[in-house]
Amino acid sequence: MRATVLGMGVVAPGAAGCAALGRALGEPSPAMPRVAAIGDEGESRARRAPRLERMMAAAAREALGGRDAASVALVYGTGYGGLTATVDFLEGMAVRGPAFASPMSFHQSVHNSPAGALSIALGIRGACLTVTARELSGETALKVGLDLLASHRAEQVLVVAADEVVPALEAGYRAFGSRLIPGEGAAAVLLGAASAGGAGDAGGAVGPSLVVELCALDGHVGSLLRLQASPEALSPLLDLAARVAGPEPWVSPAPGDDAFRSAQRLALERAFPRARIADDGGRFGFNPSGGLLRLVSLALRLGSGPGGAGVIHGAAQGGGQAVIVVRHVAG
Amino acid sequence: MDTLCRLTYSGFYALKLLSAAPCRPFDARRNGLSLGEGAAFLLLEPMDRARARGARVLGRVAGWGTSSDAHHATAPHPEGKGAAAAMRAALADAGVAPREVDYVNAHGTATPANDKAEALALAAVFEGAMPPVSSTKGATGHTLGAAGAIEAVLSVLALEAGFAPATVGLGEPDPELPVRHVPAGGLTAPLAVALSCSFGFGGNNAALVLTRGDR
Repeated sequence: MRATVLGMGVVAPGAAGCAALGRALGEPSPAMPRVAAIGDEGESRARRAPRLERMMAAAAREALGGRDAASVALVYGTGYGGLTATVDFLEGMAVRGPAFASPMSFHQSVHNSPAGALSIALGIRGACLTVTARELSGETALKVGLDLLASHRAEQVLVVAADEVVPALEAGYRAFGSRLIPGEGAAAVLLGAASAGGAGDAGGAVGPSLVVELCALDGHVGSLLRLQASPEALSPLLDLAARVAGPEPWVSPAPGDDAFRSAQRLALERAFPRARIADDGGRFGFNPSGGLLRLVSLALRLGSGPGGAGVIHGAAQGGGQAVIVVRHVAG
Repeated sequence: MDTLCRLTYSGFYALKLLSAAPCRPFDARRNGLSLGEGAAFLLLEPMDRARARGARVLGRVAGWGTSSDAHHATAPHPEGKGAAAAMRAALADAGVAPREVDYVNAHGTATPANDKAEALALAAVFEGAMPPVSSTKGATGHTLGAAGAIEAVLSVLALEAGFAPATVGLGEPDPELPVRHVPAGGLTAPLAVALSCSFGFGGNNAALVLTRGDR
């Protein structure tokens, strides 16, 4: 299934919005992959919304670029959901007792709650789906969005992925002895059928016509807390992406630990001997929504010239992996 | 799949959605839900492939539909507009007319607002020709993330057995809810098509049309 990207939006560490991210790509990554500004600070409603929902809404609004969203389908990908709300709720239970826990924090802690809040904020009355797939949550949301288009269940799909970092999450990583640095942020892409016109007329600067040519996911049964560290296991999906992308694409490698990165390097060298590497791991951190953030980042790198292709490689603890291929084509 | 734990219990308690007694879906005395836990899995395969390998087909997912209320974080649209949109989308996807539905497995949580909104949605979709309706949450409790799959399984079992289960806990049907209830003790009848409804926080609505495997 191919789809046209009609708009993009992003709230990333060091960059609120596509234009800001485009400028930031030429600079060193932030010291820590944390979002310091969302870009909605002047909006009165935003002050009452949880931080995760604010990031989502800002990215979604940028991708929509003022379009009416009533008939748009929404697919939201997240690894951890509203962690701030989850921690608030648990702290309330612990401090004040179970009978006095916060009802607001509870419903905001439920994984699909941010999507519901976004559908209310944007007036979305079409499908509203929430998916979670560890560090492939962004890629999985994109795949579901493409499937909705392919099955003609929606003419336009807003795919949003968002995750946030809280101290409890960092403590959790440390508790398992992980040296990975969790990241946060939100990204949104508005998809239409591949023949849809008007590409690039909404949201972030998409260029002539950005097309998603492939989104494929694969799983290899492995350890629950380890990334796939075998080049042989990584190669088939990367080889598939290479056949679609052609020679000399930009490639965005998945972040991961040393063993994974070593295996990934070998598999990438085989599949893409002449690739240009766009390593955004330091900028976005180890983020369940990172696949969609890196898609936006790579689209910005591709620039406006037609023919350029980009490959986003994703990997999750437990052995799953994903590839996305995007390309600028003549409008 | 979902498990019952203190977090979930305390959350629904804080939202004042729990009934102190076992829940009574669609009952005049209903005052909240009962939490449950469980898991259900359905193995899906394209029909032609299943038939080619001689599999025993238990049922068919004939269509599905989803919608958003775009109304409130925890309360349904008071007229059930989003719920009705999901049901209509599922029926259209399946190519099934409302009059062809033999049984509805309702979301039926037994909260005052949800049951009323769902009843209005059912009345709007079926327009005076409502099939028998029941909520199995009176028996299972609200199993939250598992509820949609569990109720899909129960709907398939109902179709296979030709038996629509009654709503456990329903003693005095709320006269203000325009619902045709499955009679006490259940209903034995040929059932070919079932509609299963599930609604979630934030106004997320989904509906499934399920048919017998031999249909």
